[in-house]
Amino acid sequence: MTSTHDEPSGSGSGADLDTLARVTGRVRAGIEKVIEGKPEVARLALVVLLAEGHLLIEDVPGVGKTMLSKSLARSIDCTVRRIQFTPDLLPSDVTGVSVFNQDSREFEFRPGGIFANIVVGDEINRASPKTQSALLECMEERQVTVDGTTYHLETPFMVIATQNPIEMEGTYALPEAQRDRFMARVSMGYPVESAEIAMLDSHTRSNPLDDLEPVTDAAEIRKLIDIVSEVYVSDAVQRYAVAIATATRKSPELMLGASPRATLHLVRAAKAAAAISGRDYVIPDDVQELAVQVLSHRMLTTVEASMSGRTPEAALRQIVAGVPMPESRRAAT
Amino acid sequence: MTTPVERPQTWHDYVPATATSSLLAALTTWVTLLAWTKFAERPSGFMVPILFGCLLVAVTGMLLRSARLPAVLVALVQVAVVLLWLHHRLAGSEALLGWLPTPESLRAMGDAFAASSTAAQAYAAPVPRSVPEFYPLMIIAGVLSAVLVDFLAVGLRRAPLAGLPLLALYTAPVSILDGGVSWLKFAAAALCYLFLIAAGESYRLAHWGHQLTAGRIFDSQTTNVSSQAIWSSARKIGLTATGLAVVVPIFVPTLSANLFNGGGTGGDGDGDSVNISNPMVDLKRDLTQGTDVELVRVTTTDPNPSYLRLTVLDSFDGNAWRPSGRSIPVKQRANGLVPRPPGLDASIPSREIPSTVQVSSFFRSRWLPTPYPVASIEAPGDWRYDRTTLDFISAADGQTTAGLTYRLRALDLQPTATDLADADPAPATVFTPYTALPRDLPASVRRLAESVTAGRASKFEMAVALQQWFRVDGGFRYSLRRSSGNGTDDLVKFLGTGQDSRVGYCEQFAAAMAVMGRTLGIPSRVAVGFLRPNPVPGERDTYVYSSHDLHAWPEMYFGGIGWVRFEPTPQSRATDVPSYTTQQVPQAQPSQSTSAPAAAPSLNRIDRSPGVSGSGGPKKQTPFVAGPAFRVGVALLVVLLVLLVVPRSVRSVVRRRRWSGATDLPGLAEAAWSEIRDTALDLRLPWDDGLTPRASAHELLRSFGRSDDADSTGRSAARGENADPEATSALGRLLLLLERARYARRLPADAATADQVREDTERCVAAMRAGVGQRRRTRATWAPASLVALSRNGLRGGGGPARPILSEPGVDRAV
Repeated sequence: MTSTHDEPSGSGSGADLDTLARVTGRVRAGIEKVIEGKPEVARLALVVLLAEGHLLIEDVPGVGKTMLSKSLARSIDCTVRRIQFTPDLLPSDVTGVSVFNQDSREFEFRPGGIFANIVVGDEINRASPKTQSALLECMEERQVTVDGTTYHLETPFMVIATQNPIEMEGTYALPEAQRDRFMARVSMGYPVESAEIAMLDSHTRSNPLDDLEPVTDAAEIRKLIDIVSEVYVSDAVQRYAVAIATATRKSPELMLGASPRATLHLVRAAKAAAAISGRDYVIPDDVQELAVQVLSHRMLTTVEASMSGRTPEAALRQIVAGVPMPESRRAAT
Repeated sequence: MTTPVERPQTWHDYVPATATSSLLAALTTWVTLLAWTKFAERPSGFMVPILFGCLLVAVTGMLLRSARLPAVLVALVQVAVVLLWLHHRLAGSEALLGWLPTPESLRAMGDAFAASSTAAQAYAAPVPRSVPEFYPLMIIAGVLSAVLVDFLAVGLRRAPLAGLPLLALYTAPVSILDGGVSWLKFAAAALCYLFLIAAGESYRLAHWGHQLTAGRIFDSQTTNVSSQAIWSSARKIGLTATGLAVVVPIFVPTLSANLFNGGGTGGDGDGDSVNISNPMVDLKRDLTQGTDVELVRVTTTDPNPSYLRLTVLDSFDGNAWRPSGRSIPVKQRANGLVPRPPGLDASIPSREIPSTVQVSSFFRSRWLPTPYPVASIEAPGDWRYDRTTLDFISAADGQTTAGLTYRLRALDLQPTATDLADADPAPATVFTPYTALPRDLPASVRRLAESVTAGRASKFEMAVALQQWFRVDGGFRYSLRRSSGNGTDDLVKFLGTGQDSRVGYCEQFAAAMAVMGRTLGIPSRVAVGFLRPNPVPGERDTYVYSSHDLHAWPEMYFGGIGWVRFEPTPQSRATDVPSYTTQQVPQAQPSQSTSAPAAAPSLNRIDRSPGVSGSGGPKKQTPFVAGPAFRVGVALLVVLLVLLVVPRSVRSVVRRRRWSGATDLPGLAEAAWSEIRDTALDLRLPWDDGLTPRASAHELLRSFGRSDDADSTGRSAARGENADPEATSALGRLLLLLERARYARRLPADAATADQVREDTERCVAAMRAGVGQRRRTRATWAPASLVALSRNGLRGGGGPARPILSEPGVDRAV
């Protein structure tokens, strides 16, 4: 019972969950070949992918943010685009632009970097807020509107953005609206000593990214997404998620609590996590486990709390520990 | 002693904070002083000036503190301002421009205080309206205490310390005026004091830790937030504590007499009763008062008039002798015949002596001075008598004896020592209340009484021996230079042999003899009144009782005669003793008297008093209690055994009902999980209802052990998930079943069988029990802690799981 893979429920979805487990296992193995010693980061990336969310990877330079996003993209046989966000990047570079074709004497649309299954937005917080805002519609509605014409984006669609902490030079803070569109934020953190030595060993000989072969394709990922959407969320767990979100709104330490979209993201992520764990139902532990990663980047602490050194993560952990457990029915005593 | 300076403060942010405290301190002092209102008939005479004085102190304090003067200096200036104001008030006409002191004005001020002091000595509370000279002392005492409270609470910011002077202010009237102070006044004072503390503490809290912010100064907004939570808790705690302090004494039996006034005990008539204040308190003051004032003038044909009695203190609670509640229905008016004194047989010779009593206008008493006993009386006004004590009490508000003249016929009893020695035992209605003693009375008092009366056969001879001991043999000395007091501690000191012992005045003598009498089983009480009077020269049959004749003496009860007087106060004060105490008691069996010591001629008399044998003391009762004691012991043992078995039985009933109530698979899963949880609680294993089932299981696995692996304490040597792999997987199965029952779309009926679930549960329970030592297992069996949790959940209506208290928002900020 200490394994992360639980016994399936025995329902008709058992075979589907097996497929899902097999595929995600392969992808994770691939990622872990490139990023040593960070299995939980790889797992979260997959959770976000299957939950149709977007991932924000935040850390200091050089810990493998870009490597993670590229290895995830490389593991899946699908279209991948990389946008390097710079201060002079324009919104049209992201979304695309209509140009006048002299031959046909018509405007024709040149898709921007966003038109892909997986978009790696590197150093997203180095672009101006204006350019960052161009991402808003794509990320939430999975479509791009240019000159009055709406172009739909293909599923799966996932933005993996990396950013440096805002204290770093030359960075802009992401607007709250955009932060809210990322399903989860993850910090890479420094590798442990042994992992760093292993990294030196493998990365000095060749680039392991080059050896990475796709282990699945867009069609299969779409199927997996469908499987995830079938995962059952009981009334009790839904109430639990809402209770956590409500608690963040009432917390005296938080100026900005979780939005309803955040609650939705939390439950969707929990569904994906449950599916990866081989269950077709969500348990409160799924919600608990993901709450900090899914909610913390959207929270703003009050001035008082931040002056006393409280981070949103710490406040959230305390809130999660304090929300009562859901019980579908009272034990017969 | 200066104000601690924490950070540079501006005038603006300094003043409002102390202004609240200053005003609260003044208000608290004044509200506490409301307890003083009973000191005078017209309390507004000093309460209104005191209010002004308190405000003066507060405003002066605020102004001076805004100038950032040291706290001591502030207090000194406050005292000076108060004195200047009082000077203006008392001697303004003599002063220069009404304010500047001149020698004349200072003398006038001194005179005013001297007059006030004299008035306070001369009059018992409440001081009448006609004596406004009394007020200055009250005013200066009240306002100076306001300065003290202000100094402690605001100047030193030690609001809790200010409680001491406030308590002193409050207890003064409580100890002097019996009948206490209204609970409303107490509640108001207590609430004000709590607010004062809260204001002081929140000020401290708000100004705490500024040094850490390195130049940044919190605005009041941010600091207020943190004190809000404390305010709400403080309000709850304070209100609850005050409420309890007011309500709880009602249910404490020792105080009930004061609270309910003993009104209902009389039964018939309108049953109204009066509050009796303690005359003992006034006694010493009147005795030590400089001038001897004529208080009562009696015209009687009796050539040797005896003591006059005011009242009887019949209840001893360990702190003092007090009059108990009196029942004085309207038909017991003092105009006509008075019932025969309780216990008096017709065989005792008696004669009636007519007297006329004239009370001087100085003597304001709520009791009529009368001889004891009285056969009939004609007193103007509404005076009533109590049947058991036969003292006469004013039944009208404000009615006192001042200037009263009334006629009465006293009953002159002439019992002999023989009558008294042969007296019948006291009936239970007299014996029980009049031999009652506080439980904490040291046994040394009884031993002393027994040793003093050793060899005396009858109760009467014992009483005479006590009287002799106090007057002569005990080496007691009469002196008024002793603080008043007749509580247990005072008596123990008075009866001791150390320095300052065996010195006292009539109060201690009477109280001590009454207490010792009670320890010997003699019904006793203390009477307060006047010693023998002096004849008025030139006027026949006229006698005067003066303020220096005030006196207290014990009365003891002898069946057939009733209450008779004794005189333990030494000869230097009370020259003569009742005649019956000097007579020789004839011996019932003269043949045995030769073997008795001369000092105890009646040694071998058979005592007929209940409960006490001649010299064996109370031991005689032992055979009567032996039978019931055994039965009580057996009953207790049975109850104990039942109590011992009850938790275990309840626990097993809970277990059985849990399983039998689980009909479907989800029910079984929940039942299994509840059983595991309860077992964990029983075994005192860590269990947090706030954790998810998975996290709980993970935590629980660490305590799993194997039963065949026990060490010397009966505890499994290896513990953890690998100790008993089968139990570990059983727990895994139960957890999965529970999670699916609770959170999955549906739980297939064939996921597990009832037997499997029970088997897995038993395996887990066995592993949990194996993981702890034998002692904890035994405790879990006989004192299952889960029952406590069960009852708590039951009280909460079976609500959700417990919530860790520290995770409540705001708690750790408050911490």
